[in-house]
Amino acid sequence: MPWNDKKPQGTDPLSEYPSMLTNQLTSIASAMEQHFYWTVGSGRSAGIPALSTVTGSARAYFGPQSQVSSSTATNLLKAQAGRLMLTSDTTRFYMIQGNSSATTGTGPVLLGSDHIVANYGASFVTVQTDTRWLEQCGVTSGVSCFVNTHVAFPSQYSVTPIVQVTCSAQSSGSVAMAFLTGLDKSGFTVTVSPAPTTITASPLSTAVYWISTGTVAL
Amino acid sequence: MSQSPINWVEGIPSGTSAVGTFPGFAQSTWTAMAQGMSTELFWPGVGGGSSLSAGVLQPGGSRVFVGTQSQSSNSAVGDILGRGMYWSDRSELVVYDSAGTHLGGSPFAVHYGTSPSIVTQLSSLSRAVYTQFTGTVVLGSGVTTTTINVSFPTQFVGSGLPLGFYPIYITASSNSSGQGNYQVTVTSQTSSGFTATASLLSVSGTTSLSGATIMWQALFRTATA
Repeated sequence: MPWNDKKPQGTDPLSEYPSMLTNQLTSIASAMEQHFYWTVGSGRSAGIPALSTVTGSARAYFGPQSQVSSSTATNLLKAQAGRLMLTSDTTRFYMIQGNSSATTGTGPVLLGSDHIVANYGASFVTVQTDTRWLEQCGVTSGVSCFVNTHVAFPSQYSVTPIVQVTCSAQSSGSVAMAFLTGLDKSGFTVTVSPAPTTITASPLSTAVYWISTGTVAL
Repeated sequence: MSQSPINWVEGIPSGTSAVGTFPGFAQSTWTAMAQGMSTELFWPGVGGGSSLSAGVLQPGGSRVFVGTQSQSSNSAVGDILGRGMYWSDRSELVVYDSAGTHLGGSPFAVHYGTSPSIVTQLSSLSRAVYTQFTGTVVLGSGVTTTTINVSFPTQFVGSGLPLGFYPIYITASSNSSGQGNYQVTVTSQTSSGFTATASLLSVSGTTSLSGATIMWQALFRTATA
């Protein structure tokens, strides 16, 4: 039923008023029910965004990367905090903060992209709600040969993470190998030893590079 | 800047209003409705839409909750499902599901972009994602040399992959007393997994070992977004 904002005219007969009003109300309901509860459901739910299954009721801005900054509150008439934007040329997903305060300032926040790394662990079935994958890394200097050195994770994991370690060669050319000798949710223990085949001199100590991957509470 | 308020009057018509004022009042009401609705929706007339597009959201016409993490609450039932919330104190987006709350996006997420071979050779894949798998392999007691075979949960799309086409990281743990350390080397890799060799190094004067764990980490691109 088409929307008609030119009716009624002053010369229209009164007999047309009921059908005119019915048509307008039907048009409003049809339009609103594209994305909102209206006549469907209880009166209390009228106006609530519907849980869409075809075309979602959460529509982000869509345009080139160059338009991201122009979507902020200072350049548009609408309040922008809480809106989203998907860039058409770089496939990035942004959150528009408007004037709200946040750890990253007030500009658009990059939330995701087609280059984001999805971590699944060893199986697809291990994904849990209310958790996030956390990757931490660091450099621990002064790790002596054949001495266990403990490294605490900056944030403790929910379960024992995966840890990779490697160590740097010293400026003297001596080469060492790093080995994990202990691991739990809060940290790991590493020891280094001279490489058996390429040793030129026994390193006294070296730096260990490490990276850990595991889950923590959301 | 803010948009001008619409001409919306709820007190008219009243019981004493003249009948002759209704046509003009009705038209102004329809115009006011169209003006208000067209801020976020396509609407015929001032909204720039047709009757077919009436009520369809304009780009950007949705807003998620904005608040601190402490204000976030997921009842997991009813109208909360499918909604998103932006945690202003952590700069992260979460989405509410019936099973719980998921992280929807974060500026702290890792965006992969340092391996041209992975990026360019599969850039034509739609719905492709960069995928990281991690896992462990526990070695038996007394193992001096062994072959490790790892199969990925999903297959990397590609053929004739050379060694090193996608990065694999491996670290071996020793037992609690630090005895027996393994050197692990990747010997082959395919689109569905990789093979590595673990060799015991007698660096601490022992050749026996139990409970050593090989931890692996692989990063590549899949078409299973």
